[in-house]
Amino acid sequence: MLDRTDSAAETNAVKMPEARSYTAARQHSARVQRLKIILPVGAALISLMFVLVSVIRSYIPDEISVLGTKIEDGRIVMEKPAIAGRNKDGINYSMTAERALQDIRDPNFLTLETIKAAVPLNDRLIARVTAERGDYDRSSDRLNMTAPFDIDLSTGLRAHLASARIDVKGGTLESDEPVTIFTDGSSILANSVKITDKGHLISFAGEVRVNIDPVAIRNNKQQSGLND
Amino acid sequence: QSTSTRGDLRLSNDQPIQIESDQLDVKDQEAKAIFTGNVKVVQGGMTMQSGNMTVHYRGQGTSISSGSADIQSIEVGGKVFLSSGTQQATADDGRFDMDSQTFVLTGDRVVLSEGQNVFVGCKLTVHMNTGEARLDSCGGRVNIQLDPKSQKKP
Repeated sequence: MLDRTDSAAETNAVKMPEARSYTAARQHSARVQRLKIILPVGAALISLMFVLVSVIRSYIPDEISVLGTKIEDGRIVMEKPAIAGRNKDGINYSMTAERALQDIRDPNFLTLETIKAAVPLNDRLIARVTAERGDYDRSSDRLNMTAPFDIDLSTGLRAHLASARIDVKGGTLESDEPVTIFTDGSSILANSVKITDKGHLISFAGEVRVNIDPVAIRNNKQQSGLND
Repeated sequence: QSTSTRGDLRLSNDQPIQIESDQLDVKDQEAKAIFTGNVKVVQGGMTMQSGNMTVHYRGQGTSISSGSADIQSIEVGGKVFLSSGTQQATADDGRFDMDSQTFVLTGDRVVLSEGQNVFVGCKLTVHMNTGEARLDSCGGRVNIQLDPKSQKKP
């Protein structure tokens, strides 16, 4: 822009000196006129960009890493979200899903599809959750399992539940629908289950049925060397 | 004074055990599982019913949730009813001790009945592997009611 005004200045050199300074003045004011428009518009644009970036940034919480995002009918769709964090005992938990759908109106609420979560119940016990879908509330770290799912405890215990509310950070789980638990050699069925105290207390209620397979008793006997 | 009979009040270890109850609390750190409410245990021909039952496991922590925990003892309470083949027993409380393979039923009136014969005492001790049962009267007299017909059995 500057060089253009110079060339204009040269052509004026031939004219009367007063004319030269008058045209220069007029060009200056024209330039000021333009800047008066460009600068605010530019500033607005930049701040808008900044707002947009931070808005998107706030939607995607820092502990979520995402392969890609796109917006589909009013919801942010995240591909392969992975959520990780530490629970209050400092044991880290992780959760991955095929897709996470996030409502723009409520960024804390995610609907997850094809979930795989590792929820530490205590320093020795980790529960691996696999489910078709669930709703994850980021603000409270609660996972509301709305479809049947499985939990595999690192001790070999496998639980199948119809639905449940899991507090990922607190390491608790509650379900008031039928649950079946299999361990090697025995099974537990009940109408509801509550896992609290970081997995140390498992409470079943409603038509509890426990089947202990003789194999389990026998190899316990051999293990502990009891004579029959 | 006690009488002892041989019967089939015993816990065999080659048949599955079914346990039913209203509630079950598995307490990992205390290594015990507490069944409460209409507890019913069935193994082969033996049935046990009681108000509550606490299973004490050997070993620590997560052994229960891995299912391979080793049962150390079982306590039953809240009116115990035990039946196996021709023998039946009722008492207030009971304790199965896996190490010594014995279970002991106690109560104000422990009644052991076999067919028509009824024995009443305050403590019934049964050796699970042999099925031998001994009823003690703890000071009082053992009240025995024998059915004459039962004498004719070979």
